[in-house]
Amino acid sequence: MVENLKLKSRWTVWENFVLTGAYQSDEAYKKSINKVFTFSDLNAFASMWNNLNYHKPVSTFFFDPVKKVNKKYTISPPFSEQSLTIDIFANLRFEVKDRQEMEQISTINLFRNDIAPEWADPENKNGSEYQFMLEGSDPEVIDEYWQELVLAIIGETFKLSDQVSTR
Amino acid sequence: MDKSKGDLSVRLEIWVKFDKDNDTKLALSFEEALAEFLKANESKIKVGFSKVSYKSHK
Repeated sequence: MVENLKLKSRWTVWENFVLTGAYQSDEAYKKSINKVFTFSDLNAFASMWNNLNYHKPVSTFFFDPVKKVNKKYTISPPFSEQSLTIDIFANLRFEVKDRQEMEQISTINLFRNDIAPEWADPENKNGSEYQFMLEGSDPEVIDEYWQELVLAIIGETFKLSDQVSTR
Repeated sequence: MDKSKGDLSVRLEIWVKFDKDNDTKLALSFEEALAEFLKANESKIKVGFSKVSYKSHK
């Protein structure tokens, strides 16, 4: 049994749903973000990641390369590691398996503590962001890169990781 | 990207607590660390990534 896998920080996963229409108000944006999960140790992180299908190639989480359509999901209820019992795991798997075709997810967000994925959050409003694209034809390779980055951030092995909020 | 050819792309964003205009020294250090991380992982798993762009929240 592996113990003491506590992370330095608590992290929260959020999903954004695609907003439609030309004008996207702050209120509409707030409604489009959904808190999915909080965790502060590696066991909870790994369980959450697998059960929400984030472990599959992240590019195919958003896009079905066979049907060539954007995938849609139902909204997941928020879970925290405190609620992760065996039964809850079973329910979570069931929930994910039976997600209905409803909402197109645009973004998976990972933020420290309870920071929300919005510029107006007090922790973000004086900050900034760096963006880059991962591009290729092999979704599993893209996924490997994505997971390397996620693990570096939550493991805080990234230099200056205390400056990362992040997304 | 042309998805019909099987090409895929994912945009990654790293939100940070500082603003480049107000803390240039910290921003430079962070950019060096990020470049180092990307370079190390690029050689390891051979995937393309675009130039890093910067956006202030103000």
